[in-house]
Amino acid sequence: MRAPERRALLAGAVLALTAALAGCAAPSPAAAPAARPTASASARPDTAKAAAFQDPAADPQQARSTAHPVRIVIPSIKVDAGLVDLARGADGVLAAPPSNELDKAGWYAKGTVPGDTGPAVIAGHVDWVDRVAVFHRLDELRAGDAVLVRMSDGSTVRFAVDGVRTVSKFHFPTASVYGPTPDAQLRVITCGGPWDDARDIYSENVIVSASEVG
Amino acid sequence: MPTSRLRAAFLVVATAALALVVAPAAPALAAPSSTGWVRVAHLSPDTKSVDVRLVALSGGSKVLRIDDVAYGAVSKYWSLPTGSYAVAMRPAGASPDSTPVVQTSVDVKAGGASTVAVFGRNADLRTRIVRDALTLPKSGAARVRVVQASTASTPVSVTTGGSAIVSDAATTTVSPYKEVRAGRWTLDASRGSDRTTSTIDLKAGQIASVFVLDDAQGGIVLRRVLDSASVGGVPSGFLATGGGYLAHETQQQDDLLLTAGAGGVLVAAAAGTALALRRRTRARA
Repeated sequence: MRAPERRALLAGAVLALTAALAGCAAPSPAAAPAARPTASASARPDTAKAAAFQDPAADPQQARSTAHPVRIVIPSIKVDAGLVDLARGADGVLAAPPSNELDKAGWYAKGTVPGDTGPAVIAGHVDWVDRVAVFHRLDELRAGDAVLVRMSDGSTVRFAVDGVRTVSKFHFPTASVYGPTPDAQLRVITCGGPWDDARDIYSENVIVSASEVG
Repeated sequence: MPTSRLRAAFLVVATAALALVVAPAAPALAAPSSTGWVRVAHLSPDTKSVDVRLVALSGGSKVLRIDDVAYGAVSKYWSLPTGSYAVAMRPAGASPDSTPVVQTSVDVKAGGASTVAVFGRNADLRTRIVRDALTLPKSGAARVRVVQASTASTPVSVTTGGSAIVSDAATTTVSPYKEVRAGRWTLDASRGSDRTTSTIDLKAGQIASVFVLDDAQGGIVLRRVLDSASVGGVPSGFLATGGGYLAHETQQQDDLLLTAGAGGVLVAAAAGTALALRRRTRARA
């Protein structure tokens, strides 16, 4: 055993002994072993050694949630909207909600369920030719703003905004929007930037990234 | 009217005109990602449950804890600001001041994910920082790797559908991720004469780790853990989510304001000229 390790062991033993002698240990579970005679018999710190090999813990639950999202609520920009299912077209492009559902947003149903590991995708219109639509204030969101997704089983999945990006449609960041994440995230997408007269679309997409909280 | 005030007025009008021209600028972009992810894996077969604490080494007083991590368990990921963190594991329920069973440090990189793994028998605990990939699998594909945590000296092989994920892997080794078609895969693991079989359901875009572990009967067993997931069926390109109302409305407003601004500049220019003329007149007088 190297010297620093021995010192650490000694320090730990002294601490434990001091705590036991002074009787001032907090009423935490940690204090309990020190009070037992068996513990004081050994000056070695607890190494958590088991008597024999153990069976490992069971696989964590990782099945896809059966609930689906039904509403998106963003209090800071007064959004409280129902959700329709979105799908990719034959060209692979994610279709926006239909133009008769401008006050609703859409969830990419083949993608991630909000609250499951990975990025769930919700998209909605910023406007139509003659009026504003559900996400006309999306670019006002700031880091920390709450985004709530109400699920079909009555539960709510809570997200906090990490950041808002405005990206050119010519350089849509597919990997960072749809790519793997080790936790539950949400992307909320609409249009923005200057109008492109030649192509008759907005030139940019506004992308909100959010992570699940508590 | 005193000259200085007139000049100030001219400046105000000119500045306002300039501001109007510059106003429809792009909104500020969000700050680049400055967080990463860390999780903990307890892979020591004869070590009881541990409490894990992470403390920021670079000045921060941030302390994170996860209690009662049992053998074979892999924690959820923590999202943390980038930097170095001290990781200490103590017997479940032990005082935070007590000597850790094992400790190490981990660097959290922006947008990166790591697993702090504890391998080996209790008498010979080893920690290893395993980097977890976060790159998008090909369309319709998933990724899987093998973390060989069986403590025996005999190496382990894992195959699926007749093709090897790892061959003769020594204890504590981690294979590269293998890209496979999404779907249900049968995993066959062998360590000498010990054999075990398990199935894993991999959806498109998922990235998973298979842990080879000792069991209480002296054999081996497989545990499957999802590392990360992307959107299954990645859409291509951008989204068309606007009809142009706001752009055209804003354009009309900008046009109006620009006209007004230009008018202001003309007025100011006229005032400036008048002033210059008056000065010249005065000089002559």
